[in-house]
Amino acid sequence: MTLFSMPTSRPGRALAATLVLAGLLPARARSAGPSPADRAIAAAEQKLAGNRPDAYVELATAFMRKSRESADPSYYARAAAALDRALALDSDDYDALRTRAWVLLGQHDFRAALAAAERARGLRPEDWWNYGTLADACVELGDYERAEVAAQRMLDLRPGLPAYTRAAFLRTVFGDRPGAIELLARAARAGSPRDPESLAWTLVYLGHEYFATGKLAAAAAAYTRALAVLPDHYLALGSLARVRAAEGRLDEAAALYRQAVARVPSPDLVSALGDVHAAAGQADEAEHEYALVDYMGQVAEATGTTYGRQLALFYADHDRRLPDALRLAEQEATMRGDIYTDDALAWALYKNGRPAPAARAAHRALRLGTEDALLEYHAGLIAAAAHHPRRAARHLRRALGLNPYFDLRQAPIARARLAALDAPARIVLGGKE
Amino acid sequence: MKTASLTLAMTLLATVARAHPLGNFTVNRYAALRVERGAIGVHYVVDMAEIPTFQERKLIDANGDQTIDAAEQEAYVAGRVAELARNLTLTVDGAALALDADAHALEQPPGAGGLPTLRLEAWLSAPLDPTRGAVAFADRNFAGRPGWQEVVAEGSPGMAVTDSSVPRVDRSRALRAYPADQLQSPPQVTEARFRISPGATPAPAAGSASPVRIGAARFSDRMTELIATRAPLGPWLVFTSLLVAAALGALHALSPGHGKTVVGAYLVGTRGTARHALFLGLVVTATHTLGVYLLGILTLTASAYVVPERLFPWITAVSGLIVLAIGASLAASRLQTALAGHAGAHHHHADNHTHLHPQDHHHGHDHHAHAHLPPDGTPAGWRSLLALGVSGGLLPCPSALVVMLGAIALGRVAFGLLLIVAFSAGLAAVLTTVGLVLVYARHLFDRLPLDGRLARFAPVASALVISLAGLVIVAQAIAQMGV
Repeated sequence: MTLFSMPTSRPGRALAATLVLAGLLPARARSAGPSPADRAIAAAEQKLAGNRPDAYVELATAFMRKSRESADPSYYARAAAALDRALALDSDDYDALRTRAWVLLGQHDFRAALAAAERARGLRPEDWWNYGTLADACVELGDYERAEVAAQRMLDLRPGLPAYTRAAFLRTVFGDRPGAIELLARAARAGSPRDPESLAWTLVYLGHEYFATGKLAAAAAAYTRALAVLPDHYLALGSLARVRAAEGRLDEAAALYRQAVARVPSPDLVSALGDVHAAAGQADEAEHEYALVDYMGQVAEATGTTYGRQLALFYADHDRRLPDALRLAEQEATMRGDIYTDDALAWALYKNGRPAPAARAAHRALRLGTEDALLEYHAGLIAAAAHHPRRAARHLRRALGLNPYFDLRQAPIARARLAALDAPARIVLGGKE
Repeated sequence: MKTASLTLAMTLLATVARAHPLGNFTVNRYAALRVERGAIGVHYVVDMAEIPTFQERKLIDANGDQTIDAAEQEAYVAGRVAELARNLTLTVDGAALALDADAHALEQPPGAGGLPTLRLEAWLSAPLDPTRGAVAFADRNFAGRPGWQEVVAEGSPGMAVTDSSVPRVDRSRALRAYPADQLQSPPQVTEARFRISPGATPAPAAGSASPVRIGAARFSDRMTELIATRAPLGPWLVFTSLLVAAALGALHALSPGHGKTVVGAYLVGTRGTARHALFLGLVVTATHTLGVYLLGILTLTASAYVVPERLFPWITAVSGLIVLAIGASLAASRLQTALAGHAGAHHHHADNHTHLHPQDHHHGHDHHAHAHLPPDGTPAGWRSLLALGVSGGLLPCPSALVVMLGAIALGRVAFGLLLIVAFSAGLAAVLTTVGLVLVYARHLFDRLPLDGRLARFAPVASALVISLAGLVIVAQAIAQMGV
C-alpha cells in the first residue's frame, strides 16, 4: 500500500521496458550486478562527505527502496537513522520531514506517520508527495473519506504511478474493481523501468484484481509481466503460485512458492506452500511449513517486530494457537483501523468461539461495500455461528460467486458449508412441492 | 564520505548480541580470497538469522527425530559445504578452478530470545598453476535472499593482487561483528575481479614485482608462525625460537640481495683482516637490529599516513646509494694507484668470475684474488668499513619487520625485539663467515706467484663490483616504487 516512486523519465529505458513487456526483448535474467536500490545507496553514500542533510535524505530514500526490493524490514531502521542524521543537521529540513512520514508508514507507526504527513503538508501544501503519505496513513487508520480526498488531490497535482495506484486501491475497497483495473493499467503505463520494483508491484496488484474476480488467465499474464520486469520478484512468484494452485497444478505451485520463499520467507508465502502440500495430501510437508510459520511468530515476539495480521490469520485459518490469533488481532486493531484488520479480528474472534463481537467486526470489515471473497466467506461463517443461516448462505454464495478459487484451503470449506446450508432449504422446498 | 563514515565506524563499531542485526530472515554471506603461490584459498562463511536457521534444521535433522546428533551434524556440514562450494565459481583467465573443502565448522550462536542462529564456515582452496592472470570469483548461493554480502581479496608475500574490484580488508570480521551504525549499509557484493602477479609483498599500490624476496617469503612466514602461536612461552620454547630466528637470519643472509657481494668484494679488495671481518659482522648486526626497530617505530607511528610497504623502496634506495658512493670512491682511488704502476706486486690468479648479478652471488667470490696492495694503498679503513656495515644492515628486511610488528600486535613486545636480535645475529654470522673465508682465502692466494697487470687492476674491478651492486640495489628500489 505504501507505494512511492521518485519522478523519473528516461525515454531509452522506457522504450526498452516497453519492448520487454511486449515480449520482443528478453528480460535480462538474474542480473548479477547491483540492483537499482543498491546503486541508489552507493550513489547516496558518495555524497555523505559533505555532511549535508539532503545527502542523508537521499540515503534514507535509497534504504526505503531497498527495503521494498528485498522485503527486508531492517532497512526501515536504517532509513530512520539516516533521517535522524539529516534532522540533526537541520531540524527544519523539509525533505527530511516529508520523507519521515514514509519511513514511519514502513515501520507501521501509522499515527506518527499521519502527524508527520500533516506537518509536511502544512509546510508545502502544493507538494504531491504529502498527499500520498497522508492517503496511506488514513487508509491504515481506517479514515477512508480523508484518504479519498488526499488521493484525489494527489491525482490532480501529479497524475502518475504513485497517484494511480493509490486511487486504484481506494476504488477497490469502495467496491469498484473494474475502475481499479483501469487505473492500474494506467499506472503500469506510467511506470518507469528505472524503478522496476514499483512497476512490478503495480503489475502484481493488477493481477490480484483479476484474481479477485476469478480471472485466472488474466491474473497469470499480469504476474508473468511482473516477472519480466523484475525477474524472481517474490511477490510475483508467490502470486503466480496461487494461480497455479487454483488451476490444480499443485506441483508447479509448490515449486513457485519454494522459489519465492527462498527469497523472502514471509508467513503468508510459507503458509500458502503448506496449504499446497496439504491439498496434495502431503500432510508431513504441510506440517513442516506450518511449523516454520509458528517459529516466525516466536521470532517476531522475541525481536519485538510483528507480522500481527498475517500471523493472526494463519493461526485462525489453520486452527492453531487460537488464543494467540486473537491476541495478535486485537493488538493489531489498536494500531490500525482498516477493513482488513477488522476482518482479521472478526475471523480470530469467530475461531475463538465469540460470534457476537465477531459479527460486529465482520460488519465493520464490509462497511465500504468491498467485493472481496475472503471478507464474504468470513462473514458467512460468522453469520452461521450467530444462527443467521440465510445471511450466512448469502455471504458464502457471494464469496464463491466473486472468486471460486479465493483460497486453496478455505474455498472447499465454503462450498461444503454452503451445500449444508442449502440442503435443508431444498428439503423444505421439496416438502412444499 | 570516507572521513564521516570512518569516524562513525570507530565510535559505533560494536557487536549486537540480541536479535540478528540484519533482520531475522537474512542469510549473510562472506568470502575472503587469498592468493598464494600455487593456490587460491577461499574462507567462506554463511551466517543465517533465526528463521533460515529453522528452515535449515530440516536438512540437518536427517532422520527427522527432532534432535540433531553429532553424526547428523557432521554429515550435514560436509554435504552442505560441498553444495555451497559448487555455487562458487572461480576462474583464472576464464579457466575454471575446482574448489575443495579443506576444513569446515558449524556453530549455533544464540540470537533473538535465545533462539539459535547458524554459522557455517568453510575453508576452501583450489590449486593455481598460472602466476599471472585475471581472476574472477562469483558467489551464487542464496541468490536474491537479503543479507550482508561481502567479498574481499588479498595477496600474500609472493603473490600480489592488483586492480581488485573488492577491498582487501573486510568490514564484518568474517561476519562476527556487524557495524551497529545503521548508516553503514550492508555490502551487497557477490563478485570479485582482480589480477594476480608474482609480487614482493601485497602492496595495495600496483605491485611491481621485485624478484629479490621471492625465496625469502617462506622463511618469514615460518618466523611469523613462531610468534603467532598463542601458547604460553616456556623457556625451552623461547630458546628454540631464538635459535630458529638466528637460523632464519642466516638463511636470509644466504638468500640473494643481502650485501654479501659488497662485503666480500670490499674485504677482498682492501687489505681486510679477520678483525675487519668481525667488526663488519658486528656493525651489520647492530644496524640491522636498529634498522628494524626504527622501521617498526616509524611504521607504527606513520601507519596512519603511509603504507609500510611503501617505505621499503625508499630505505632500499638510500642504502643502495651509500653502497654506490663507497664503491665509486674506492674505484676512483684504486684506479689512480693502479695506473701509477707499482712494482713488487705479486701476481694473481685471474678473476674470470665477475658476476654482474648480485642475486647469483652465493659463492664464487673465492675466485677473487689480488695483489697485495701497495704500502701506500688504502687499507681497509675503519670508517668506510663502518659505512659499509651500516648500509649492509640497513638493507630493509620486511620479514624481520613483519615478525616484530606481529609480536607487538600479539602483546609480546620484548619477545619480538629479542627475536630480531637473534635474527640479526644469524644474518651477521653468515656475512662475517663469508668475510673470514675470503680473508683467509686471500692469504692462501697471496703465496701464489701470479703475474702483473691483472693483479694491479683486480682491486679496481672489485670496487667496480661494489658500485655495480649499489646501482642494482637502487634500480630495484626504483622498480619497487613503481616509477
